[in-house]
Amino acid sequence: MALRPFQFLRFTRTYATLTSSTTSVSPDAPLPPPTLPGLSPTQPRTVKSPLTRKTQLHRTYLSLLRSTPLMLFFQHNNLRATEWVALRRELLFGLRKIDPNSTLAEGTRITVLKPALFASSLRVAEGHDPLHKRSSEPGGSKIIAEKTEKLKETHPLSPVLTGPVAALSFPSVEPVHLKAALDILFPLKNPKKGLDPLAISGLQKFVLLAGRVDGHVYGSRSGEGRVMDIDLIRVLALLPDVNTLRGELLAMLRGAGGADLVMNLGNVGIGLTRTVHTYQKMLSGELDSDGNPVQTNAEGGEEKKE
Amino acid sequence: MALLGPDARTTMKIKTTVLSRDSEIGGRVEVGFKDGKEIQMDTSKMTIADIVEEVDRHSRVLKRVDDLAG
Repeated sequence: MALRPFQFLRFTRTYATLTSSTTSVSPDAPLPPPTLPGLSPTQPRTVKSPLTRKTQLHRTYLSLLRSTPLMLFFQHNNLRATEWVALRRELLFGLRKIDPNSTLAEGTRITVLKPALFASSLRVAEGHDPLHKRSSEPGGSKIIAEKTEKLKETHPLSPVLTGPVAALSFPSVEPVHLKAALDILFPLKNPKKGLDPLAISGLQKFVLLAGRVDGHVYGSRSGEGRVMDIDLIRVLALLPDVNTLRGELLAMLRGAGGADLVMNLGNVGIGLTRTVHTYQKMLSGELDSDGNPVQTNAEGGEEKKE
Repeated sequence: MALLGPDARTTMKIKTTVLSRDSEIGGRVEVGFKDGKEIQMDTSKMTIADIVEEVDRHSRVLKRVDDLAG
C-alpha cells in the first residue's frame, strides 16, 4: 500500500505527457496538399513562398514556441564567436553534470532570434489558434495578421523583443536544470567558479529580460503563454521538482481525508493502462483475442507491473 | 548597450539593472567620466541618439584635453 501512491503518480504522469504531446504535435485535421507545385507534400501550406528565409524562420520560431514549455529571453551585446562557443559548451556541461543520463542537456538550446520576426511568430502562436478556429484561406496570413494586430501593443513580451535578443529554450520545466542554467549564464553576483575565462567575459554581456511558460504546462491551451519577469524566474528555479510537489499534494489530501478522491482519480489512469496493456499483449501475440483468457492475463500483467 | 564594442567591459566598468515591470522610474543612465564628472539622464523620454549626443559632448572636451597634452 505504501508503494501505491507512487504508482498512481507514474501512471498519471505518463498519461499527462501523452496527451500534451498529442495536442501539440498532431496536426489539425487533414489539410489538402500544398498549393505550390513541385514542393514536397510535407511542406505546410503557406501563402508566402516557402523558399524564402523569412518563411522558414517564421516556421522555425513557431515550432520553437509550440514545442518549448519554458523559454528565457535575454539580451546579448556584441559577443564574439568564441565567447558564444564557450558559453554554449559550459551550459551543456553544466546541465549534463546534474543528470548524465537524461537528454535534457542536449535539448536546452540558445537561439539567437530576429526580434521582429519572432514577435510576429509569437502573435500567430498566441493570437491564432488553428485547433479552435480556422481561417478559410490556406495559411490565411492576412486574416491572422488582422486578428493578432492588437497583440502588438498589448502583448507583455513586446517591449522585450527589441534589439539583440536571444532565447534559451528548455525541453521541459525542471527547476533544478533551470537553476543550473541561471547560475551559469545569469549569475546574481560573481560568475560560477571554474568557468572558461571566455565564457565569463561573454556572460557579462548578457542581460536577462523575461521568461515565457507555455500554456500546456500550467493547464491552459497550448500556445497560450504566460510571461514572467526576472524575479518570478528566480522563484521558479527554487521550487522542488514536479514529483516532489505531487507527493506533497497527495500527502496533504490524505491528511485532510481526501483518500477517496485520490482513489477515484487513480482509477481512471489504472483502467486505461490496463486496457492499453491488454491491447499491447494482444498485438504482440502473447494473447489471443478471446474474452476470458484476456481478462485473467491482463489482471496478472497488471499485478506484475505493480 | 548594443552600441558598446565587444571589448568595452575590459576598459570600463558597466553595471546594468533590469527594472521590474511595475517600477516607478522609467529608466536612467548614469555616466562617470575619468575626470570625475558625472552625468545623469532620465531615459524615459530620450532616444538612443540623444543619449549618445549628451555623452559625446563631454567626451569630446576630454579628448581635446588629451590631444593638447600630447
